[in-house]
Amino acid sequence: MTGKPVLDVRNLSVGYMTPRGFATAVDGVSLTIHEGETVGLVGESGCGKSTLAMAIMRLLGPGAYVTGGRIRIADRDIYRMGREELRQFRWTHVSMVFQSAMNVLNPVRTIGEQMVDTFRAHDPRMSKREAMERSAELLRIVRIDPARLGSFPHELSGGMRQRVVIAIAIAFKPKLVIMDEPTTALDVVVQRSILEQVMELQEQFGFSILFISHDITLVNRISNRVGVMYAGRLVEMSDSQLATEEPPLYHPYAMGLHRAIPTLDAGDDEISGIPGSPPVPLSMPPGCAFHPRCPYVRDACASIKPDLTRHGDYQIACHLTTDELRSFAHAD
Amino acid sequence: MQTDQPFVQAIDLVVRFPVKTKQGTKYITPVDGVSFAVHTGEVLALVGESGSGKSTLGRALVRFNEPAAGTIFVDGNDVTHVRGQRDLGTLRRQIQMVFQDPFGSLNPVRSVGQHLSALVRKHQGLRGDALRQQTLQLLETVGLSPASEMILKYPHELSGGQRQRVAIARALAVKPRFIVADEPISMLDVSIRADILKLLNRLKREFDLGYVYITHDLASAKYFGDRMMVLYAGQVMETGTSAEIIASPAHPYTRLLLSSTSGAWSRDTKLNTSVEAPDLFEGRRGCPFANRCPISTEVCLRDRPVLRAVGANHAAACHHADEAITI
Amino acid sequence: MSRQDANTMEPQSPPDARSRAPKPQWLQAIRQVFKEPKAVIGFAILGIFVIIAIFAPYLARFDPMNEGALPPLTPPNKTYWFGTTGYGDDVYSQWIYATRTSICIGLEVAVIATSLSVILGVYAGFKGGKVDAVVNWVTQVMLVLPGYPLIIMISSYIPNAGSQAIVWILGLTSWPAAARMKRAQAMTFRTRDFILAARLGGFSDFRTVCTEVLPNMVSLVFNTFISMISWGIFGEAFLRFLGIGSTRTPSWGNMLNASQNGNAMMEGAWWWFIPPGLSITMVILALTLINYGIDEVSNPRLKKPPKLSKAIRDKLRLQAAEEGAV
Repeated sequence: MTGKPVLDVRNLSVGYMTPRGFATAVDGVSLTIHEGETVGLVGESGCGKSTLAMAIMRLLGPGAYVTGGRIRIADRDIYRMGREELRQFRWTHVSMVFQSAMNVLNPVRTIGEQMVDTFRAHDPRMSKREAMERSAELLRIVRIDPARLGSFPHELSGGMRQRVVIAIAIAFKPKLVIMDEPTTALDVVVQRSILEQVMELQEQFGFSILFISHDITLVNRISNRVGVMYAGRLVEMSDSQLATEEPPLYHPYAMGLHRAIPTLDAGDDEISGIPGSPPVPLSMPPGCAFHPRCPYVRDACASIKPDLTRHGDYQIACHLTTDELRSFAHAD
Repeated sequence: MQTDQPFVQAIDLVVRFPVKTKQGTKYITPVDGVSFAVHTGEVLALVGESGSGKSTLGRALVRFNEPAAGTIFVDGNDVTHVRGQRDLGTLRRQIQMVFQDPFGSLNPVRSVGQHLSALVRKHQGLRGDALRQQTLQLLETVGLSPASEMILKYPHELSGGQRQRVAIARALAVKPRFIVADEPISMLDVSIRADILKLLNRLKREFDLGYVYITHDLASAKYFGDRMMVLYAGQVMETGTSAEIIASPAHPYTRLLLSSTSGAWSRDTKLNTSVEAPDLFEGRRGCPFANRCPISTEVCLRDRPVLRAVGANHAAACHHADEAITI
Repeated sequence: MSRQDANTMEPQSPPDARSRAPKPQWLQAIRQVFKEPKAVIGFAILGIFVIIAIFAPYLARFDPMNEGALPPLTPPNKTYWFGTTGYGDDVYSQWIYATRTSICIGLEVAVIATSLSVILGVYAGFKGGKVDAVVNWVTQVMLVLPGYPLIIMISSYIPNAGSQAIVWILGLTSWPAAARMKRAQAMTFRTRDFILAARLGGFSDFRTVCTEVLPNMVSLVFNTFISMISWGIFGEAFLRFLGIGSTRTPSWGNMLNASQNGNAMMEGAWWWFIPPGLSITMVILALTLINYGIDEVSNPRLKKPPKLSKAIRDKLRLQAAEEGAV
């Protein structure tokens, strides 16, 4: 997949000013997403994946600062836009789906009113009736009965609410949709049906997706490429393991994640967690932030921060050699 | 498996809650006629989605709610309707609970030591140095070391995994014989889930504990559960040994769950996406899954299916369980 | 105490920070309160009045209520620092003893009202059921009854009400609003997991309230206590100013009442009413400042996000990401 880049993040760093000091949440992340591509981003709580998403949307809260790097969406730098320009740019070029639909939907107004408002905010010339028709059509696209336009958010099930939010997110045919744990709060069956639908919509409309989740299996299932974040850094960027034929290579952290979850496959595979806990921004270990938990730690790991380097088809930020990574990944 | 009497046994359990609707007060039955038996040293996994009644069922076992019908036996005693601090206290010395949210299950203003020592003092009658030693011992048991440092910490100083270990230690402080574990790993970071499951497993062997393990995740149910019970809308859909259910699911709902689990989507199960939440109101008829089921027929809407054996140690509540295998 | 979400934006405190003996949260909170400038000013002003109250017998220069032994309406001079009243009392000495009376009454009212609001509000809210229904009904009734007229009515049935009577009248009528607030908060604890865990541990409801619920409500209880001191001092002054209760006690309210009756305003005897009037204002201001300070510590949402220090700003040469909303 080598279309035009839709999202180009270069060396992005983001931090928070806290009462105890300046905490770096995203540390020099570079990421490119091409047209029509789905890129997954996996990581645990506090790894900076949500901060990265908010930075891309320029939705960082007070106290958060972009301290370096650059973000281009559809060849435009959103940090050089005026307020009005930014407002127009969001939703028409880039939109976002959050974990909780209730954060986006106003509980005291009907779905229809809210959708109409969104349309008319971006196109004031659109008549109310026209906006209503467009809203009904959108609901039909996400397989919700347009009669539901008169419903309040709490009258819909969790899955339906999230479908409404997705419908609003793609309403202006954006080039990029950022999804931050869009189905984490939902049951697995609903999760599956929504994600299958997202993939269909993507085929139909051709937008790119940045899919953020803690669930490495899920991300592998729906993404073309998968990035793994740890302690604010991208430690691995590779093709989805389901898309490639050759045996995959992993960063030691990603290896650990794969071994940490029981699977449904036959055989009583022994699982093992990664010892310790993810580091917190104000007490990052020096060198490779994963080294205190890494089973393959070397001398260099404690002092030198590894950068993403190419190992065959994979980009991995680790001091181990390709052969070592390969042998560890397939040791068992 | 032991042949003596089960430690916890539920027979035709029903839990009923009133809900206010526009038509006046109605009743829902989040647990509707569930029976099971668990021995000590054994794990029964209750699997289901939200609204399946799995948590309500777990809470009924420690009597946070009182069943409307049916019977619960614990260690041979009928505890279905026990009341009062003394009798409930006896029950809760035998059955403890581990909660889902490690951020909400510890009191933010009390230290780890305070969480545990009051219980140890009350239930094991220890004082002074013996109390301290036993508290430290508990922390070591759940893998929190150095215990002498951990005992001083407050919840906000601990990671999610550490908090869940404290919550487990708190359950153990009572020296229970049985634990209801309500989604104990679902809110934890992926990299530490395995270790919490392994801890629960080790405690099972070490103290001959029995578990009801409540989860929405079939994979962890298979890993930790000896047997599995799949619930939908408060009713048992399928029950049997974990390995057998995963290998040859007999109920269409179980197969839908299996095929939706993130690793394993297959396109051959059609699902009705217009319905998401099951109807829980009292007096419903037929199979609760019928309106979402790809193979439902008239009989499914009319008659409630009963659990029928589909193998040794394996039963399913489906009118079409025999045919379902081929679809 | 807000729960941290799975993807919390604020960094947690390091789980394995090299630990000195960790301080209990309430101790940290008290320290933080003393870092709030508002609270510090409040405590300083209050402190002065409390010292005056404690050492009143050593500070006073004359008998505060000697009725006519001194020349009336003398402006402040070297002997009578704050002048004398129209009845021939030394204003300074009277003010010193009045401070003692008012501070004591404030504290006593606060103790009574706070205890009642905690016992009724927290326990009933936590317990629920019939106990709660009854308590809640009484609270509602008390809230509906108009406060001042009720107090005036009760007081007028007690001829020559002394300080103790006034304390009880104020204490027994001022708990409902605070109780309702506590009940609302206590109710949210009922279904919290750590409370369920305490019930699983076999502890009684009373013990659970004392060890699990109340420690989480310290700031609210303290807030109530401070507001109730304020209310007690003001209420006492208000009643006495209206001439209710014994006029023989030196108190700020009685001083104001006497100056009013003695036409201090017409006579231009400003020294008579300024000390008690200003004192009431200052004490209430101080208590309000303390409450603001507590609020700011206990409710982090009131805090402004910390600003980047200049050193960091220079070092990073940042492109500021201004806050944005959809």
